[in-house]
Amino acid sequence: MGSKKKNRNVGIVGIGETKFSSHREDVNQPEMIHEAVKGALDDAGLSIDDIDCVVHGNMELFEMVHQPDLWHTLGTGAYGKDAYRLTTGGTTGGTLVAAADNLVASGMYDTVLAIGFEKLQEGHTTGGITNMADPLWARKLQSGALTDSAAVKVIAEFGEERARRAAMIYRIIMDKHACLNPNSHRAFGLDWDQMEDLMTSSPPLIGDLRLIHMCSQSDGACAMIFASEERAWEITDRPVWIRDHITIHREETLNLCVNYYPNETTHRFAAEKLYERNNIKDPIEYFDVFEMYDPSAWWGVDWLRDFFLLEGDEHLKLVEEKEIMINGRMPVNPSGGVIAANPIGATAMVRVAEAAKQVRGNAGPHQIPRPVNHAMASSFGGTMWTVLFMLEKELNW
Amino acid sequence: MSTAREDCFTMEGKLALPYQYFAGLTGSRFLISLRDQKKIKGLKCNKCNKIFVPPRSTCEICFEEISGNWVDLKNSGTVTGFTIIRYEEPHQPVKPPYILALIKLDGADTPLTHIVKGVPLSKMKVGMKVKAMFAKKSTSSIMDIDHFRPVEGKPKFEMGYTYDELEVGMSASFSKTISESDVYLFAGISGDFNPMHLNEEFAKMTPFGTRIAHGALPQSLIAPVLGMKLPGLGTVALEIMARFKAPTYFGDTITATGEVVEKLEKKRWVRMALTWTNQKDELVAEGSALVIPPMPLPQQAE
Amino acid sequence: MRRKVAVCAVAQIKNEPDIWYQRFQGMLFDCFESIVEQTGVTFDMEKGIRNVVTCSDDVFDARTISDSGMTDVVGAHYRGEEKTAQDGINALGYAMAAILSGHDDLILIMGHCKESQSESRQMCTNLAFDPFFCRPLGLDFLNASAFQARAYMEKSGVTDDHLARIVVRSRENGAKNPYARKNELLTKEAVLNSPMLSDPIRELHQYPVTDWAIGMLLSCEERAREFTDNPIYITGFGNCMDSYFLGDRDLTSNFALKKAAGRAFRMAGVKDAKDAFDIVELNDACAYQLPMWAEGVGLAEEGGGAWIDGNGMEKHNVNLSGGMLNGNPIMLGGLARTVEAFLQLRGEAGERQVDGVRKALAHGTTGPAGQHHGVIILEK
Ligand SMILES: [Zn+2]
Repeated sequence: MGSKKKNRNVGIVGIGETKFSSHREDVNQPEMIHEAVKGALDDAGLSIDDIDCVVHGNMELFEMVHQPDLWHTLGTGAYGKDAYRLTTGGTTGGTLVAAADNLVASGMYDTVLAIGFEKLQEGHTTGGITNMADPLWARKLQSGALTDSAAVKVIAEFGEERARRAAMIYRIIMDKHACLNPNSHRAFGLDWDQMEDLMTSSPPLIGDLRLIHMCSQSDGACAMIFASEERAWEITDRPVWIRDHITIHREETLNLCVNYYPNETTHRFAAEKLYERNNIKDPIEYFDVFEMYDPSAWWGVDWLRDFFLLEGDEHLKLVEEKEIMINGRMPVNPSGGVIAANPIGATAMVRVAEAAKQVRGNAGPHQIPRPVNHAMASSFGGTMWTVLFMLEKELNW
Repeated sequence: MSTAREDCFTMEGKLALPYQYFAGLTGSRFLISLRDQKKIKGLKCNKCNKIFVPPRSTCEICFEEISGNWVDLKNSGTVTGFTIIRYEEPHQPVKPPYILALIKLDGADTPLTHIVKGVPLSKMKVGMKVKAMFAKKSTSSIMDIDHFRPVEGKPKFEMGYTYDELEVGMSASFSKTISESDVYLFAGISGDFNPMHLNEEFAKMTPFGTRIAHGALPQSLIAPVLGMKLPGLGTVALEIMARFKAPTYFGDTITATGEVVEKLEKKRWVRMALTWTNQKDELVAEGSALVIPPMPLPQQAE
Repeated sequence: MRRKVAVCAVAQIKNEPDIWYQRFQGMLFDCFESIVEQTGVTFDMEKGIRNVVTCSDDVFDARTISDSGMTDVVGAHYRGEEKTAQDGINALGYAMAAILSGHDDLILIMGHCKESQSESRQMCTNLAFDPFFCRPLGLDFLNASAFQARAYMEKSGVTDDHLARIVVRSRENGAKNPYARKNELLTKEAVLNSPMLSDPIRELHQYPVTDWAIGMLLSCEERAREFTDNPIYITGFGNCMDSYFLGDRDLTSNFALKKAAGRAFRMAGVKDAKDAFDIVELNDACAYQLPMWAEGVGLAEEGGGAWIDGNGMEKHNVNLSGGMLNGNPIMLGGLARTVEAFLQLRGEAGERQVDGVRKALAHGTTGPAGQHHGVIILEK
């Protein structure tokens, strides 16, 4: 499947996240980034002098700063170091992790710091990028009718009653997880007895997509430190290894590609290829946790089928039987996921960071209550872009 | 820690889409000090001992937290580099040509970028001592420093603002308390010994009930404004008009103010609005002036 | 362990002042088709391109996540696409890492920029400055360069006359390059009399507004000959970031460039730049930068002025392409420099061809007054 053994193994050795919140007036952009960078350095027990290279990413027009890594040098620690900047929309945070993995594995750098951030509060508020207006943001991303397509699709296949219940179960599970995660931006304390009420009373946005289903709009930054195998063991006694990653984009500009190839989502396509080349036969059996970039509860439900290569209503059953809860058979988003916090340029990196914390076993109150050896994390962006990661506790694959 | 909204500045972007930027607590403290105390503050890194300006909360070289280490800087400094901007674009704060300089403030280690005015373009040079001139109106931004000007005393004559340096909205004033002896001297100068100015008993019978100063006496206080402040040395006054609004009594403190209201591009003259007010903020007189601002200094050998 | 990465093919359109007749997608697609035609490369998941590294900028494209507008025209439909938003030299550095890591055998690099789209280049680059202390003063990449130019000229003995000679030479070299922007040839007097934009930078000292697109196919060493009989190898890369505030930097020290070059030299085993390279391409967005960057990479230790007087530009074959000064858009300067190095190494540089080229240096910069530099070394 084209994947060769990596030139050398790469371990995650440091993780820093700011608190995610709707507003951070007390810090400017480089200061907010610095909080995450400091957090990652402290977590790894390193000083900035130990870093060889800094990778930075976000979306320029969200804050209207051209090449913001230049100004942000004040907070990133890139001064005097090699520095890269990558940006790929919602997948940015994932692309940054993939890039850091490549940069370390290449042998060009031993220790790489990657930083994803967004300060959406500074953005174009009147255009609707506020807490309330998440769907507008999503609409921008999703171009027209695609927005509630997940809801339409699930309802068409499984009927209104079952589909709506599944989406709301998913939503409440995510909220229960978010309540465990001290870093969450939104954690309401929803409970099962509120299900019926929420399914009818939450403000409808488009079709069956209701406000309660949607992700938040957050300020925040995430920083991660990656090191070569040799360096990683010097830094920590529990590095988390990046086994593989795959990026699959799809976006039609020429209108040539409608339905011609391949007739499946990038998520499913990415998962198939990734499992194939890593010889994963049964992903649900294999993985102990999945951190998914789930912009809404509907997508979350629908995409479970794609990522785990499920058929029929297997994915609905996972949700209905609450197997995706933190203590279930296949825990999904013990962090609360994207619905709980969404600082866009950081969001996808937070998925990897949270998955890695689970593998380390020190995620905090939202640690899965059994050993986590194999983790998966996804990124989502554009109309349909995917970055998918496999993390491992042991170097034994 | 909770943060009050009013502790933090919001900057509005100038783009078609509005953006708001948060300066953060450290940046805000610097801006508040500019606004309220007209003081420029630096931040010291205790590791490398450098004093930085503009403010930042970490030393990017040592990666040390420095946000509490405020140091008072002087509002004056030395130009370490500059350029004269002659292309015109919408993002510029003033109309070109203007001087943008790197200014190392006394007490700081890193220069600040800002505008320098009050020096002919051809005379601008590295090493010049300049001082901060604060804006009349606060915008709660770095533009609370309107610009830097050369420190006085260096050139033989501190010439006034040239036509190009003058901007609509610039203003200057001069205040003086009008004493009895001022009035007697003015009577001698003008030959106007009218008893309403000099004879208290006579003055009691006038509508004012006491002696008042000659109308032209407070009016003359605009001369030091135009000739020595704005535009300043080298100004030629073409026309001064005034309308009296209230009397000036002995002991009143009169403030004469001139403000640039129009630049007459064709003639390169400037029209100024004039006001005279007393210590009670009553309008004593108002009027206008038309002046030729000083010409740029000819090239001189050093 | 993989040590080298091959450049197998380059495809470019002509640099033009205003490609009004084509959207950037069309510009890229022309390059894309040429790469496929030259190399026969496929997008097979097993043997073909699985990852495309793009280079562009959202502000200059005036659209959020501008790579969403090009996924399929760069061949990334159901493949990976990763956008580097810096000077393209870093796209090369990153692509090199992606291949050396073992993750990818092949990387397609696709870059574009239409400077003509924006009302003003300076208004765009003003947005690179913080909104509190620099942006309100009207700082942009042009006037930031002017601070550096004055300080550098003072220190290095580079004069207005030297700058005029650099511009005249750039136009002469550009005229020999069929893909270079078509400009008028200039006399030294014309440059010396061109109006000051931001002292000491004159209008003709600055690179002209340009639109361009470029594609490059990179491969691991083992597979390069599947796509070309004449692969060129990347043997060294390094980049470096300097301080943000202009006042924090020593503007004449070449701090970041020296570090970037040092890292690239170490990787490629280069000891002394002065006799290592047959071709040197420096990213001179402004005339003063050519001697300054030449000092930075170690070609002109005697100082820029003396180096020019000693015929250094010809001795080291610097910017035979015409350089950035003849016209390449922002973001793509480093890729344009690499294209010239590639063509010279392949013996395909036409009228500009130098005999027996074995090793070349190409350079790119990002940010105001060279805040970030990247250096790449290519060998036959
Ligand atoms: Zn320090």
